This record gives sequence, structure tokens and C-alpha cells, in this order.
Amino acid sequence: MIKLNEVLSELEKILSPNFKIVKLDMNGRHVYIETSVDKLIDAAKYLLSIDGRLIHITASDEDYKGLKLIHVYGLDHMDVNSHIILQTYLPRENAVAPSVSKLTYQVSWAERETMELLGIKFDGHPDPRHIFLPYEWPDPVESKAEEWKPVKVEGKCILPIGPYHPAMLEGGYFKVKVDGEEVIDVDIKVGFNHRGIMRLAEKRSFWRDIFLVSRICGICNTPHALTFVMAAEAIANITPSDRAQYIRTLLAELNRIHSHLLWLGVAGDLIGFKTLLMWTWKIREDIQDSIELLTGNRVHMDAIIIGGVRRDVNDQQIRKVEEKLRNVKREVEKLADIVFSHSIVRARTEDIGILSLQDAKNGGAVGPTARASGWKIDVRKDSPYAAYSEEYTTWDIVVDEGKDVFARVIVRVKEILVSIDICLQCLDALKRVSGPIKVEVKEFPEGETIRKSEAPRGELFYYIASNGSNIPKTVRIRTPSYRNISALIFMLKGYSLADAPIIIGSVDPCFACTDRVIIVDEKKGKKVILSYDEFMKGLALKKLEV
Amino acid sequence: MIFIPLILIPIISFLLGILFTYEIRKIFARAQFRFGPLMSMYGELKPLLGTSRLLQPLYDILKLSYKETIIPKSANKILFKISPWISFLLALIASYFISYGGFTLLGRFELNIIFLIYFIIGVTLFWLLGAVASGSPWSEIGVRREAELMFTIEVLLILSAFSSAVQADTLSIKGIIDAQLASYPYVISNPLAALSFIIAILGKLHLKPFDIPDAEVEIVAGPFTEYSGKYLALLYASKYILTAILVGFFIDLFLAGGQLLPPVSFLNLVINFITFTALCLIVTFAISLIHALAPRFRIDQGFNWILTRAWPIAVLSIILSIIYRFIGVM
Repeated sequence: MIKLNEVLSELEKILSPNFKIVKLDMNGRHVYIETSVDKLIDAAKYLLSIDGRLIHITASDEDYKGLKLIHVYGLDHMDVNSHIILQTYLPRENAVAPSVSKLTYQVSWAERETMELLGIKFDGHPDPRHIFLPYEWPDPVESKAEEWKPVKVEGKCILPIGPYHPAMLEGGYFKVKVDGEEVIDVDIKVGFNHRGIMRLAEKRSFWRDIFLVSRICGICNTPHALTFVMAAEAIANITPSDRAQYIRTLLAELNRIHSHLLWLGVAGDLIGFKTLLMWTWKIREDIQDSIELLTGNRVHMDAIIIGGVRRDVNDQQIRKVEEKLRNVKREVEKLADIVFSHSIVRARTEDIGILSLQDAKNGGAVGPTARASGWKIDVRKDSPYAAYSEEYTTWDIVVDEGKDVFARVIVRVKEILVSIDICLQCLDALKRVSGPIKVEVKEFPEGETIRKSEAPRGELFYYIASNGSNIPKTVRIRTPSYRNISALIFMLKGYSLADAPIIIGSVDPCFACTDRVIIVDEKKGKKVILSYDEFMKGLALKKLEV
Repeated sequence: MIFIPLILIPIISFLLGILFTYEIRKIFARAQFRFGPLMSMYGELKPLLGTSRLLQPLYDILKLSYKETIIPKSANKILFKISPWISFLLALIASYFISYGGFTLLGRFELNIIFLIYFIIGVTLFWLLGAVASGSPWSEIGVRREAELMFTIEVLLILSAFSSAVQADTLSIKGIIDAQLASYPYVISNPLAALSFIIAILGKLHLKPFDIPDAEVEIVAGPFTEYSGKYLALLYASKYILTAILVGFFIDLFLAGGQLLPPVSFLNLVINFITFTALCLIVTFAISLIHALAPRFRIDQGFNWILTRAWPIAVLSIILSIIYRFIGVM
């Protein structure tokens, strides 16, 4: 386990003479370093070699200073709260930076996004295609319209899963190339619903942004609001009261429980277990009712505001929510018994979609997907926020070494129980801790900050810069699904078509949060189960060979 | 006199199919805390009539039959159009073989089990042919899965049907029923055959865990993907009749055709028919529960499972029947 001081002294040697600490945040654990462009690759090589995580690459427009390129490294899984933020200025015209995705796959999408949104060219990027725009842009999209139809090429069939498909509720396009039943190639085009929320957030005040960012995703709305609010509070330099922290934690955990239950139901549906879907969604009703009781809304809580929370919790509500949570705990334990021991569920989920620890690190998996690969990362423990640190609540990270889809089921089901436990602790604490639920905010001074939180799907990252007005100058968001969907390329290859939906589903993809693209190389796999070419010969299928 | 069963039997089997399909849907829904097919009812009549929409499967067909029928450009038009008709026709013919509590047309002559099994296979075969003709890759994969499933499921169906035939020493449905009436229902002497027949029903009707050919999250609707309008209605109708045929076949083979009384008078026939229907509903209840409580197999797992678990049961059942036959325990 490497310490932040050692890393900094080593980094100073590598970057010198262009090493300048511009800002310290979070009691000196977030270190903002300014350096030159040519040193970025060396720094990346060193930080990745010591098992650092490259959380995000983004850029912001700094007027006359040029474009500011930001590399955010997380070392918090080794040393609590430690983050290194490397910054460098590029000219506004013909901005070119070295590509880090040559070294690690995890930032491939981040660099493509920056290329598209701010026009920075990344030298040597392995896959410099469009990410939000159609691949063919600026050529007319219609010219390649046949690419979206099912076709048969060289005896292999290309199936379109999406843009609209029963397996997915949101618009995503998985071009699956199959040989018989086996998936040999996948190309994912997402971005059918790009809403430009980061740009919108830079046009509204901090107060209105809270409600905007919580609309990024309906299911994990509270972590989005919470992370944005934490970043805004860091800029305004205020700390909410303990009571507000407990209420925030309670709401965030309720959100996690309902998200995980929803996922469990959808996963059941993906393997054809309709009854599991209905059961989990019935259990979830109790959580929705609790949320409604506490905040007045069933899905979008909108309860967290800068400086605290919108509504207090009274004793009657605490009693009711406790009762409901105990009920949910009982039901979930029953359900866990069924799911863990059901032979067909195990047959459908064990040993498929394997994501090794090395691939998880290279692909940048986060949240339950990473934890199911045996990687012990959880923002709630690594960089404690709200009421997750030791002095507030006691709990453990759920890790599983299974690496397959079943491990992801186990991790999520166990996390539901852990979350219920945290909720009950928070409710207990709310009975004795009193205090104001709001702290007044005076102004947002000039500054920049990063904040993270653990959304149900994994690590959620925000970068916010303020120019002293009540409108944020820059807002950059990296959602967990962004990483997990990109890590799908390591899971899909070589498995059966019947497994594709559950593998895609196992990372809990949230296209509303994401909008990205990936590519898988074609791989010569095993033989088909039944020679279907012969079976079909002479029938209408030859018309497919367009 | 031949005209009465000629007209009545298809209607009976179609209505029974609707009833059983309704039951499968209702129990599937109730197991999931849903209501299932439901209609609004006057408050005063509720205790009397309930709120269940018994004819929902029929309404589905009626609705489909006046919807627009789309035929894909890539389809082989003749095959695509004619296949649902042939499969519906085969299902209708197959329904004449079943003995509905003693009421039957073609159930009497020797070797009719073989004909019946051929017609049952024919229904599925023409589903596949129409799907292949549609030219959609979803149908293609659905067809391939269905074909793989058919190889294993038909063996189960045939072995378990023949184990009853061996025990009764006849290949006519009427003969098997009479043999059972003379001794006892074969579900008691040979439960293994009944079990493997139930598995075969699950596979033939695409119920969980064998709904592999039309797994909607993977391949949309499998073989039926490109069908719409009246052709889809026809396919549904043939599926309903197939449901009635398979469940009725089970009653005939293992529960003495539900014949409580000798079929001498009209009243006795009616009572027998009611017993037959009641037994059918019990069997449908069992398969609906399995349908509700199981997820879907992947095709290779389903294939392996039938090969390693269900086939031995079927083989054992036929060995059991041969033993019964030779030591003379009828």
C-alpha cells in the first residue's frame, strides 16, 4: 500500500522542472498539479504502474489561457481520499495532446468525448471515431442506412439488438455478429439520446443545477444530486450538520436498495424468470413508499440542497420507515435463498461474462461490477462522504471472487442487505442527533473541485469550476455506466447469444447516463451447435445475402 | 351421425384450448402477484360472475384478425402465407383423434396414436417453415432453437405415449382407455411416463423452462417475429388447439380419458366430458406452476438437461411398461 507523500515525491522527480502544486483540497489529500503536455505520458506510466486508477480525462475552456486538460488519478483505494489532478494548458487552436488510452483502455471513451466536445486531438488514439455523433458524420447518415439492417455476411449473421429492443428499455444499438449461437463480434453504438446536460448545467445557477443533474438518471437520481451538492459545498466552503449528513445517507441508501432490487428483477427477466421480476418489484414498493414518506416524491427525491436537505424527518416517519425496512430485509433474505440455490438461475449465470481482475483494472470497471471481480473498491469507504465514515456508521464492503454474472448477482443482493443495515443505523442516529438541517450559503468564490460518490452502479465523478458568479463555469460528469459498458468488451466475446442480454444486463447499463460506443475484434471461436447453413439451404434465407 | 362430431370436435378443442391458455396465463399472473386477464364487472354481479376475462385468448385472436397484415419484402410469400394455414389445419385434424371423455371421431381405429403424433409434429413443423420463409434472422435463430428442441422433445413424447401403448397392448387411443378402465389409470402404474409426457408438453408449448425458441429478450418473438395480423392469429389459434390436444392426450393416455361412466347415454357423455375437462384443468394447473416458477434454459443447457435427465426417465418408463406387459400385471 503506497502512500500519497511517496507518490508525490516520485512524481516531482518525473515531472520536474514542470511541477507546480496549484491547489490542495480535502485536508491536502486532493493535490492539483500543473505540468506541461509532454510529461503527461510519463506521469501516466508511473501512476498506472503503482496501480493508480485513471478516473477521468476531461478539459475545460479557460478563455485567453487556452484549453485546460485535466487528468484525474485516484489513489484512494490505497490511501484514503488521495487524488492527484494533473492539469495542463493547451493552445485554443490546433490543440494536441498525447493519448493515454494507448496505455490503458479505461479512458478511451473519455478521450473520444473530449475530442468531440472540445476539439482536442489525442495523438495516437487507437480508435478515434465519433462518440456522440453518427460514425459517418458529416456525411449523410442515410447513405449507410443498410448498416442498420440485419444482414448475412460470409456465413455469419449480424443481428441488430436495438436501437429499440425488448431487452433494453433505453435506446442503445448492439450490433452482434453471430456464428450460429456464438457471439463473435459486438459493436455498440449509443448516443441516440444525447441531451447535452453538461452544457446545460453551465447555463443555470447552482441551485437549479441540482435538479437538472438529478434528472440525468431516474433510478440513481440522489447520488447525482448529492455529488453535485458536495462539490458546490466544497467551492462555497461550508459543511452541513450531522443531522443533514445522516438524512442524506439514508436517502442515498434507499436509492441504492431500490436500484439494486430493480436490477435484480430485470436480470431475472433477462434469463426468462418473469416471476422473479414481479416479486422483486413488489418488494421494491415498500422502498418507494418510504421514499415518498420521507421526501414527498416516489422516484425523484429532490431532497438534497446545497447546505443540507430540504425536509426534516420526524419520529413517526422513522418508525414507519424502520418497519418497512425490516419487512424488506425479511423478504430479500427469502429471495436471496431462492436466487442463490435455484439450479437454473445458477446454470444461466455461472461461468459466463467473466471479467478477470486484470481486465477490470484495464477496462476501468467500477462499483458492483468491479467488486464482483474481486477488486475491493468502494467510494463510500475509500473517500468517505456524508455519513459513511467510521465515526458515523459501521459496515463492510461486499466483495466476491466469482468474476462471473452470478458473482454480480451475489454482490448486489448482499449489498441490499448492507444498505438496509446502514439505513437502520442512520434512522437510529436520527433519533438522538439533533441540529439544523440547512446551513446558509453566502457565495460561491472562484475555484475548482472534484467530488466522487458511490452511485448504485459504481463510482460517480463530478468536476466543477466556479468563476465567482452563481453559475458554474464548468461542469464535467463521469457516470459509472460509462465505464461499465466500456468494460463489456471483455465480457461478451465467445459466449452464446442467449447469454448476451444477461451479460449486458449484468453491469446494470444505464444508457441515459452514458451514450458511448465500443468495438470488439472478431475472434474465431468454437464450432456451431448445429450446422444451420445446411439446414437453411434452399430456403428463403438466401434472399438475405444482400 | 358423423357430421355431429365432425363439426363439434374442432369447436370443443378450440374452446378447451382457450380455457387452458387462459388458465396458464391466470396462474402465471397470480404467482407473480398480478391479476391476469381481467374485466370490469357491475358491483352486484361481482360475487356471482367474478372479474376474470375467461375469453381473453379469443379476444386476442379476434383483435389480431382485423389488424393489418404485414408481409416482409424478404419473405418467400407463398410459403409465408400458406404455412400458418397448414399448421392450423393439421391442428384441427389432430383434434379429431383425441377422446374427449369418450366423445371422439378418429379415436377408435388401430394405429391412430402414430397418426396423431405425426400431426402434432406437423403443426410445429409448419410454424418453422413459415418462420424460415419470413427471412428474418430473428426467426432464423428461433427456428434453429426450435429444431434443436424438437429433436429431443419429440422423443420424449413418443416414448411416453408408447409406454402406455405397450402396457395396453394396442396402438389405438380408445383401446388404451378401455385397457385402463379395465384395470386402473396408468399414471399409478407408470408415473415416470406421465412425468416425461409433462416435460414434453412444456417443450411443445414453449413454456418455461423450455420457452427457448421465443425468448423475447434475446430474439424478439423467435419463429413468430415477422408474423402479424391474421397470420399471427392463425398461429395463435393453432397453438391453442395444440394445447388442448396435448393436455387431452395426456388424460387419454394416463388418466383413462376421464371416463367416469360408460359412454352409453348422452347424459353419461356429458358427465364424462366434465370429468375430462376437470382433469385437464388440474394438469394445466401443474404445468402453469412449473411455467411460473422456472427461468429459461439456455439452448445447450436445455438440450443437455433433456438428454441427461428426461430421456433416462422416458427410457425407464418404457422398460417398466415392457416388464408389466411380460409379467402380465396389466
